Amino acid sequence: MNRLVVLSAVLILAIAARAENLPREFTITPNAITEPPAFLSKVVVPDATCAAVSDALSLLVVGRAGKDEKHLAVFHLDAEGRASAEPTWITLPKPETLAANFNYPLGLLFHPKLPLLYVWQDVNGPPAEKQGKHPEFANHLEFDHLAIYAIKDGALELLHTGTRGEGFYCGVGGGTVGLDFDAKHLFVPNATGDTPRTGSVGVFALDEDGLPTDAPDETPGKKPKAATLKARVGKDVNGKYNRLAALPKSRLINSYLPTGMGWFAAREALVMGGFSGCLVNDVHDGGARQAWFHIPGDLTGPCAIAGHPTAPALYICLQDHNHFYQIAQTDGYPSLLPQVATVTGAHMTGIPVVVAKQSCIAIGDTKSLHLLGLDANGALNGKDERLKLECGIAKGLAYSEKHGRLYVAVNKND
Amino acid sequence: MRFLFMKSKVIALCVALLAFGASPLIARTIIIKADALDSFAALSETNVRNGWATYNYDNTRYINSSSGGGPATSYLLRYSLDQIPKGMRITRAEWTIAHNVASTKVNVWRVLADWGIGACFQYRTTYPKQQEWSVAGARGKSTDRATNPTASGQFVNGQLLTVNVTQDVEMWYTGAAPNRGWLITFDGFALLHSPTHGGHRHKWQLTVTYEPE
Repeated sequence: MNRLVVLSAVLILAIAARAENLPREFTITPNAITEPPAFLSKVVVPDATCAAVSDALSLLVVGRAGKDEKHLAVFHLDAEGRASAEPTWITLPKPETLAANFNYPLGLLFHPKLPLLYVWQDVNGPPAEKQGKHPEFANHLEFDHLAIYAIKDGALELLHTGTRGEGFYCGVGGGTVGLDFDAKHLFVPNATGDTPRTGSVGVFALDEDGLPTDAPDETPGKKPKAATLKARVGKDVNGKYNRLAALPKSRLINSYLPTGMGWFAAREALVMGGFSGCLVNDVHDGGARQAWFHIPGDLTGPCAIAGHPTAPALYICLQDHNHFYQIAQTDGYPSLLPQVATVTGAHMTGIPVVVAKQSCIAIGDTKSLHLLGLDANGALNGKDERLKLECGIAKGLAYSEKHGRLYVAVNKND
Repeated sequence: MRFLFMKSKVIALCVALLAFGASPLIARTIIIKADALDSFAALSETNVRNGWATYNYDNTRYINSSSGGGPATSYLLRYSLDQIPKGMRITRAEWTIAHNVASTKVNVWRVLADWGIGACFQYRTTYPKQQEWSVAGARGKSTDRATNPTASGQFVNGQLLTVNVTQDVEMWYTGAAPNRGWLITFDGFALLHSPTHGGHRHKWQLTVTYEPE
């Protein structure tokens, strides 16, 4: 018995020491758990693709890819953060010409101060080489990727749709919208690049109501006067819709799709997930400057990012892979070298969600969810708990800071 | 017969144990590779806040396997020396700087100032608070970096440059000075192989020879 106690103590000490002295590159073997932790709340939304929670509005919205056209599930939260039993369903708009096509939400974002929900949606379409000006893409030119809902008395009311045309890809599997630090600009994903399959991002200047505005075109060869992240935004279409033009060539990312796989806004720069790393937009000499950050190692593939709300840490998840990265960042600038975690048996997918109060980061997997442990500085601590879930890939994740609650969409209750 | 067999096994075991015990008495040379880099930052005059070193400054944005250096862009690198066992004396240390296309003069400086998260041209750290270099770009002699370079050399196309860094490694290993890594500066344009990307990172090598004290 004594020997067992001593052995256990030695083992615990050894594990603790390992967590504190992790090498920069390490392997994690997940600890399978069957009972969800107390901070995790499941909501039933089959085939979830994304989620967002608003503490200010006490709302949880989960997006789903359902052929029954129930696209958004809206849950009201009580004072304890418990979701209502039955959601209200919202169908996303699409033009009549695409009535037979399958549209689906990819990203949801609440405005931090205004009662607005930004939704990025997509629709199945022809292959990338038959998009843009190709005749087969003609019906898709009126598809609005961006829908903005006002929240009035807890209900969603469609306020604005836009972002359409040959400047955006259709049928992309990832990408979401992001706001800059002051919520004055809205960034959108999956704009077209130089060639089929290469992409860029678009940016709207927002008015005081949080709606996209027309920004003045930049004069070629002249430096913008103000240090803002303005980009070219097209004229109103039909007096109702705004259409975002592709960015000037110098600002193209030229990365493979999808672009905008998660956004992290800091005081000086905005970081975006993308192909094989992340992209940093900062302001320099009055204009936006982009720096591409390739993930170390020789791996490639789409990457999703998330930033810690208080610790100097940025997280990158190589999609459908067992690699997960943590990089220090301050003011939006990644710094030094990343931690590289290889999680045994994992196929992590989706945009990670920082579960700040519980010091972990959640990331979906096939029929499961990983909770990767973090230390006080937001660095990975070498631990992972993997929870089995009734779902395809756990992508409907959202965290409430106010309630310290992680919401996870599942196909059905256990 | 069985006794003889047992005896020979015991002798073999003793010889093996003696050999194992005596091994630290012999000088050893180890190669500390790029995966032992624990910090890496770029100091660029043209991007004063952005210190991410694997952004390929001034090169095509598609290629991330090379890092561009020059008079306006230098690099900070720090290796972990944990692979060197305790109780040793460093007898020689050589650092191979893997460059791609370059024919400029390079200087290797021991860094004096503490640097960390957020290190860039303007700041030596930005977390938990912003601290500037005494001269931007870690150019302050005797404050940010040593008064004189540890080593200097000339990049020659097609050849790797190896410089003698024995004194620095010895100081860091013994604790005579904190290990704050090296600053490499260039007189002209220098395209380096990335120590974190591509198939050439193995060329970055810190070769250390040590023996028991």
